[in-house]
Amino acid sequence: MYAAFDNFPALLIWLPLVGALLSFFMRSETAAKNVAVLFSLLALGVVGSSLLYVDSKYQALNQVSYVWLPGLESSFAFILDGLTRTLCLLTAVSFPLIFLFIPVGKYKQPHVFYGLMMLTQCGLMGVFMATDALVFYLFWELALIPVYFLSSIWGGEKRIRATFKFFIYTFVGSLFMLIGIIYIYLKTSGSFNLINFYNAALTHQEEGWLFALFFLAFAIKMPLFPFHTWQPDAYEQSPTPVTMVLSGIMVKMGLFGLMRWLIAMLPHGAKAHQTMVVVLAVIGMIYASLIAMRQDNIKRLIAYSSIAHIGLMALGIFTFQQVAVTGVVIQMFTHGVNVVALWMVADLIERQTGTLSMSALGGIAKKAPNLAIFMLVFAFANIALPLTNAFVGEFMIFSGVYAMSPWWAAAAGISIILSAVYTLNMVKNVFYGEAAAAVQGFMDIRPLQSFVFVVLTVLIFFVGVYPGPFLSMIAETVSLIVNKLTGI
Amino acid sequence: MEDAHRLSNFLQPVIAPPSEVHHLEHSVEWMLLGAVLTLVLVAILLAARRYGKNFKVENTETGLSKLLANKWYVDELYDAIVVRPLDALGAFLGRVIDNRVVDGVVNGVGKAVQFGGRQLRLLQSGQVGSYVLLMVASLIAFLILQLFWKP
Amino acid sequence: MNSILVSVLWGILLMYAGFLTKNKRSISVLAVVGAVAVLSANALEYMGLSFFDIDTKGMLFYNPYSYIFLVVIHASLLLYFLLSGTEVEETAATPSDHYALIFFVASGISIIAGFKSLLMLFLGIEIISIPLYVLAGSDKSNLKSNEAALKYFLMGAFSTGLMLMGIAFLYGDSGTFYLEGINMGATEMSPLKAIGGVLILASMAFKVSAAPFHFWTPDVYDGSPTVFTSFMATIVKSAAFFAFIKLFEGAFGKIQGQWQVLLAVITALTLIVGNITAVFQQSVKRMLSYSSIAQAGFMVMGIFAMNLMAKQGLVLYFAAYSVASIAIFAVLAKLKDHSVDAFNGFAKAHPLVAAVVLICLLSLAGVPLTAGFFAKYYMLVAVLKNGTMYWLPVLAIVCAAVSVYYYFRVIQAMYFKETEAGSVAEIQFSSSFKVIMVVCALLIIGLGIHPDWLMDLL
Repeated sequence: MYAAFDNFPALLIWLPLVGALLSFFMRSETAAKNVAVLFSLLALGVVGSSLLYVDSKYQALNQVSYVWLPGLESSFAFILDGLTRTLCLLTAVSFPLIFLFIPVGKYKQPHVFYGLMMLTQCGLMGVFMATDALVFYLFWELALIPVYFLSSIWGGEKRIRATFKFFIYTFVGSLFMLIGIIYIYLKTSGSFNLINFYNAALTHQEEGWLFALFFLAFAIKMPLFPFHTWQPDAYEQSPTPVTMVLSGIMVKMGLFGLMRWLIAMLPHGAKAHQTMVVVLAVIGMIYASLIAMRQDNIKRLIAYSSIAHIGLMALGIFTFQQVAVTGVVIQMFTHGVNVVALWMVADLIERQTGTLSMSALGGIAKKAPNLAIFMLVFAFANIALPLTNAFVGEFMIFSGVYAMSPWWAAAAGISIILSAVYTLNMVKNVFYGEAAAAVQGFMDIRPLQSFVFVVLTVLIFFVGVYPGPFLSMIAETVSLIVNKLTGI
Repeated sequence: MEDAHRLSNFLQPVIAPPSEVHHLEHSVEWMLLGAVLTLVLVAILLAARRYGKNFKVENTETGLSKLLANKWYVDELYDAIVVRPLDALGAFLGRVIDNRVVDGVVNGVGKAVQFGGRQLRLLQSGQVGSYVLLMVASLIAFLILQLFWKP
Repeated sequence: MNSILVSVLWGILLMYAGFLTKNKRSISVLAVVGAVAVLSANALEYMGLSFFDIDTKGMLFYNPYSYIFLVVIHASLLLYFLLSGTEVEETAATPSDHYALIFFVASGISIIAGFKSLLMLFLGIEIISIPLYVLAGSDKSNLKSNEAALKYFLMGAFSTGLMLMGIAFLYGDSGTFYLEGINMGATEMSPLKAIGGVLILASMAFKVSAAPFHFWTPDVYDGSPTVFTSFMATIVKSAAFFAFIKLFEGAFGKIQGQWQVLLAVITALTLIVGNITAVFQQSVKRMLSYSSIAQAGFMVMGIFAMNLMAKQGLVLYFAAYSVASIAIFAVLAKLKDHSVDAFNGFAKAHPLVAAVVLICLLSLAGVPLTAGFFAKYYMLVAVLKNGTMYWLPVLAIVCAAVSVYYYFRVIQAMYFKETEAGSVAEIQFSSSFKVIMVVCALLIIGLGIHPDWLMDLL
């Protein structure tokens, strides 16, 4: 555990952690916020510069392993590869934007708030980069606990119940995963290392059972139908910055787990359960989309829309096709960006009108034309219009699903149509039509907020128009995963 | 038209560009272009004659005109067979299935634990006599299990 | 053996200290010094400096495992004295008696740590139990305390009877009191040995409050003065568990497969009863009593598995569980109201103490980066390594999830709920109390980040 700071993964763990500790001890709100912004920007800088060192000759920079518990045969081992780089980039981009977006004076005890947010960032980075199963599990929980407190302290009226349900639900899932981790560990040559886990001597029957244990943890986290019921309540009740982290980044932990810690680790189990997962994913997509159509609260609408999108990504992973899994990775990034953007708009509306009920809103576009333009961009990205970022991922996922079975592709396509229905309906009801009473005196966005929105818009169009660099970065890692499943 | 195939290289690192692209002769391209343009011109002339200066809306109360004026009732048809059923289905799924069934199972587990807690609590009667009785009964069960039950 | 001597002497010293001084504070200080003395005496023996050498005919034998166990116990005792000294003083006009009894219990624990013969086991267990009957009833004006003492004594006598009878059966089978002698017999259990084993198992299960022999626990823990509940639920329980694993490894280690079914049944029952019943409790004290049963369920899993992982893990479990519980009980003892609602708004009134209680509760719930996580982790590894009965760890984690429910209710009360009319704000915590609480928190987090600091010693 003796830190070397000359590599990217270590910096990405330590920077948020130091930032968190410093924020805890800041007395004034601006100081706490500045520390959080500074350290999250530093983390962004680290991820950004790591993009220049992706070549395998820089391996020492992208991989690290400290001996931690020799008695337990576990070590602090992290790696930055194509997959994790994308997710770390998402984490590193989102946090500073979220911090900048938080208005001053909104949350009491701001130093604790920012400290816990930074701690969450540390946990997320650790989850994505860990190549040691026990460390993966530790960070998995470390990411959960600050979020629980953030939501329970600063959330809405029904926060205690909603976040507690979320906590227990995910905690149960991760405990099952812990059993799976220990079981595989005992079947390896005595190490928690990912490579050893990949090579563990497991029978097909064991793989089937272990698949269920891991899948439960990931499915609850994503969340996949029918394990999703914690999610709309938790999103609705959490303070919006936390909801952004939850839906933008945290749900990706589950999808990421599926790729690195499930299908590549238990290929036979994955093959055996492929149909089950595909069915769940497709049902969940249509089911969540239909429910989203009937939601009046914007937060709940985005929550159900998120379930549908996650379902599509799970479907993409379980095609076991190179193109679809690559699409999922890029979609994980773009969904994070898009959903954070949507939450920001929702938060602006709630701040000014005090409500998120669509029936009480309308005609915001007349009062705030700039906000309306940004919202249209984000909405189009959410329904994956071409030239927006989500189109790239969805297109690739669908081409993989189609290759697997046209029927599943058709069924999943229904959900895409529905997503256009509810998203555009929401835009129409909230931004157009007669100006409702609640939006009288609605102010357009301020410069700092515009800056945040411009960054998000640039990200949306950049990835949408020129995904090439991303795709080539991801493709190699994905092929390592997918290759484990071919020929089985 | 050398940039015409840019789009097929869009997702290049992952999706291989089409290996063989059909190239049409230039003469064929021009011919197709000409045919399309002619058709368009004819259509414009017809429309101008029909709906030109003296155009007025004819009786739309009956027959084909009404059908056309209401766009073949396609919107109504869609509304009846697609939109409303889906809306109803969405409401049903959200209100009944999601809240009662799926979430009901989750909450039911919690309720079952609470219920179990209330029931198990009753074992703790506070009477030493009943405690000792329960202990002796378990002891006898254990003895039987150990002595006579061979797995 | 140093620690037996020092604790007995210190107990006698404290008995007479009551005549010498009426100053309660100085008696507490004397007790703290005593705990340090016992701790260092044991540490010296571990490093090879024995104060005296008695030929016990091999009835007592200490190995590093015993010494480290005693270090954990004595360190917990020290923390307990430091945190709860004021409460011990308040329970009686002459706290020196109670301190003396606690030191006698400590000498019993030192015997337990090294027993190699059933006689020593019996002696140790009784030396531990009899003072506890007195401590349970030490709040003489309180009916509940008297009731607790009587119940404890009646049922304790019953379990003593079971143990004696078990010892008799085992002696009848093998003709010896030595654990090795009992273990050496045939690999097939004779009926005599089986009956003796079951009887002694029942009495040990009683001592560690494992279901279905746990019935005394909630009533006694709830009725006794909180400060002594803390002692019984942590230090004494750990000692009983140590005796349990030593006995079963020593006397029945070779025929593990033949009694594992019984232990699996006990584990499952204990986990279910402890966790499920704790859910409904409205009083934190009673909830902690059930939680102590629930934690015992996890520890019995270690006895079920009985491998190196289990043995090492149990000591870590003792440390994690004792430190966390002692700290929570110490805070609880300062509250007049023991209901969950009494903790409302606690975090705002006492942020530092609340943070420590939070860490302790997280540790009890087994959340990573606390000692409690690794304690549970070792138990799970031990059982899975055992290779049979995979349903047991699954049941255990389901129960661990249930335990989150009741531990987090206290967290929710402390952090997310508002207090009515400043009821918690009236409590005063001295700065020395806060320092010791922080030490507890650091211990828990330290062992949670790097359990090898303890495990490497074992």
